[in-house]
Amino acid sequence: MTAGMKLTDVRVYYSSSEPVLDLPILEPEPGKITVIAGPTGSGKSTLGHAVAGLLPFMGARAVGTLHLGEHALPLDSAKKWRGICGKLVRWIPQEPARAFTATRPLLGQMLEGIDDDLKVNEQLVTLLEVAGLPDPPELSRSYPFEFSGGMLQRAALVSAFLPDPMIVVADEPTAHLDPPRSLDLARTVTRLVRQASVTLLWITHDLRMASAVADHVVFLSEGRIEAEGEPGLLLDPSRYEPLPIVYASARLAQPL
Amino acid sequence: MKLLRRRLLASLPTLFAVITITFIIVRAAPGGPFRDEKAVPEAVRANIEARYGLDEPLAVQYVKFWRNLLTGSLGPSFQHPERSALGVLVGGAVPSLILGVAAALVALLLGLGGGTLAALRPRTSPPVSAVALIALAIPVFVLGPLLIRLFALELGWLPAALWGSPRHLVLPALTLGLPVGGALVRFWRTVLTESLDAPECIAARARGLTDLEVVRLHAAPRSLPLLLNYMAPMIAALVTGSVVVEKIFAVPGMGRYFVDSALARDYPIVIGATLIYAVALLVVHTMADLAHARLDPRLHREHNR
Amino acid sequence: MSPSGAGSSGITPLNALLLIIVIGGAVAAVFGPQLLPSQLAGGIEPLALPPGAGHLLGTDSLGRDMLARLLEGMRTTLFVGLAATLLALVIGTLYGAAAGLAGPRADETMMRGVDVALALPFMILVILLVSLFGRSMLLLFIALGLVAWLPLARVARAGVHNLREEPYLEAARMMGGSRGYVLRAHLFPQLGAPLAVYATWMLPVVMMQEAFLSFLGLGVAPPRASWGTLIADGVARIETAPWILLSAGGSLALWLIALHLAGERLARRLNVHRTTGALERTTAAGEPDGGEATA
Repeated sequence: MTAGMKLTDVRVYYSSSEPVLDLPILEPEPGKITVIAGPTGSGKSTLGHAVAGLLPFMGARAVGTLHLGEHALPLDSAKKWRGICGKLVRWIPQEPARAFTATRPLLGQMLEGIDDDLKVNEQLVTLLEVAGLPDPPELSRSYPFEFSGGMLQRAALVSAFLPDPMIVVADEPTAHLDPPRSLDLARTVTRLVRQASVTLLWITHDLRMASAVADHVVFLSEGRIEAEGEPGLLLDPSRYEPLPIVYASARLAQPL
Repeated sequence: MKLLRRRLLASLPTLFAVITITFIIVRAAPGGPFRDEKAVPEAVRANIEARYGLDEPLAVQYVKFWRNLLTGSLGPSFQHPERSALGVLVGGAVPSLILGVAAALVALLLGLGGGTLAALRPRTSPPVSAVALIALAIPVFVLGPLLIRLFALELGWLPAALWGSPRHLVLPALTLGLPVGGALVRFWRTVLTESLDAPECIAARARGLTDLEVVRLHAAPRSLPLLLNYMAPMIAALVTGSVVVEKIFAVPGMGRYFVDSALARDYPIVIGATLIYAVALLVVHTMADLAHARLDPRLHREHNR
Repeated sequence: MSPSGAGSSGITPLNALLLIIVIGGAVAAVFGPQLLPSQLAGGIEPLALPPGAGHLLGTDSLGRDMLARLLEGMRTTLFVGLAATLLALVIGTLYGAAAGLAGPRADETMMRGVDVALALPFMILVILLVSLFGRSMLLLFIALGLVAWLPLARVARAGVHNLREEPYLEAARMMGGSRGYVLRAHLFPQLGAPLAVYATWMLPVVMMQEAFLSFLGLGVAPPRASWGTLIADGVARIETAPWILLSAGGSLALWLIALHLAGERLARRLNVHRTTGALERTTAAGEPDGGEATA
């Protein structure tokens, strides 16, 4: 499903009086992959939490609204997000090993929050194949602790595309993967995004990977948008003083 | 099942220790069961003691006791020689068990319910904590009479004491269960709050689960081991409290017999009661450990993919 | 997301109230009986009188002034509680520190011993002891102390065990400090906080136990009063003289609540957090710094 999303007047605070994130407006292109890049502490994860409706559970104070289609969702209210969080917006956490509770079967958790069983089953089989994971019966017998980090990451990914979200937020999806797997994942994600016409926010500090998948780039620094634009932006050393090391090793990525 | 056997074997030394310690304490105490009676001629008393085998050397008594025990008998009660000590205790064990289970239910319902509420709705946390604190700090022997005064004497809704119908169970179970429940509230609130902050639970929220679903499917299962660990001290608290509650409410349970028998130096009953309590605690411990093992699939899946 | 913070927000009204109750109560208990001797009300038939003229809280069933009796009872219970806690602290710290400093096998055995002991129905054994050996304050606080030291040993051992690894201890040793010096100057101060907190938590528990035993008639003997005996008296006269139970029971409840709360606040001030098993002291940055929970 494709639809427009827009973040307005966002300011998020944790314990200090300085906002961790300060965005007057952010409007990612529907159906495309928008990369949110930036150094550690730039507020990109917080942005991910904001879009996924998770800020109330992170102990943050926030103002601002996420506009999704005809919904206007205040960032500080968990109540208003009921029916949206988990349905229209899905989120892939950073740490794959802790995305699922270790002591309960995996498939059940992947399907949590989804009501429409029939519709999902077919989709599930396809997605699992695309992601290179075992089939549903086996997954329903297995526990998260039996899988490697990479597989769990892909499981979280599959779970994020069920059943039919408008927006998927991926928080550093390749952080725990080695380069070949990262590339694999990036390809998988791109394929899924095109297939489902989902708006994907890809949060990362790996600029090389980011430039490979991005349709559009937003660069954050200290909670503010420093730049927005084409992927080539990421690789222009003259724009970004704080990251000379990364740029020293940056290479143009292969087209996907 | 192997685990069960292992745990049972491990508990034997503890049981042995309990029995021996109890035996030593009881026999080392000054006075004997028949010394405090009104003037009994020395000869007669010596006779009675001989009949019960109390004049034999301690070591002999100890061995005899074990022999009896292993054949399932504790000997006759000194206070009521016509009844066997074991019989008296078993008779008393039933009301105690009923009371204990009822109180445990009260404690669990209030404790887990209150704790969950305080964890999910932090704004309710201060009042809930405060009430829980009052509940746990009031001694049972103050709470009981107050409840009696209020519900039985003033309002007349419930019987003040004694035993017989479910209505008799209400006040004693509340008295025994409320303080334990209060402690459980604060424990569970802390544990659950921490659990809810874990990445797994955040991820679950991101999948659209409601508060209660997150608790039921993720936060609570993660916290279960801690709760199971808490069970043993909880049961111990219930057992201790029951001694006084049974006295206040005149419940014909083991607790009441225990204190009276200790004062009367009725050794078989005293040792028997201590044994039963020790066994009960060990059973709870073992069950908690077993439950822990059962519930954690990590402990019985060896293979990794 | 726990609110640590070495913060002192000064003395809040609630903290002030708690301090007043706790310290005031203790002072009253210690000195009160001197000032308010509890003689009989006089008259031929000692009667239980309701609160009123001359007797702020009424009199007990033998006609003695309730307030005076209460102060005396507080004193007894407080004394037993403090003595037992102290005993527990000493034994527990020594045992736990010894276990923590000893080699792994000795450590393991000692702590297994504690675990086994903790599995025993101790209050039952205490009741046994006290009922068999007669009623004396000495026995009372020894028996209670002997029960209370076990968890304390766990805390002490955990603390010592953790601190052993700390690099600054190595440094102190290398600079020529003897083992004894290292223990005194570094180890004990660090242990101080969790132990102090545990002790403040232990005190109300032990006092409640003393009152419990006295209530059952297994504690101190008359005419000596303990909070528990006063409450027992109150329970017996609940219909005819409810003020006895209300004043004795109410004051005990209030006192215990105040102690519990005070203990909690102290814990927060000293940055000691109750984790799953024992006590952990965290620095302001929230990193564990003292004893840790052992499985």
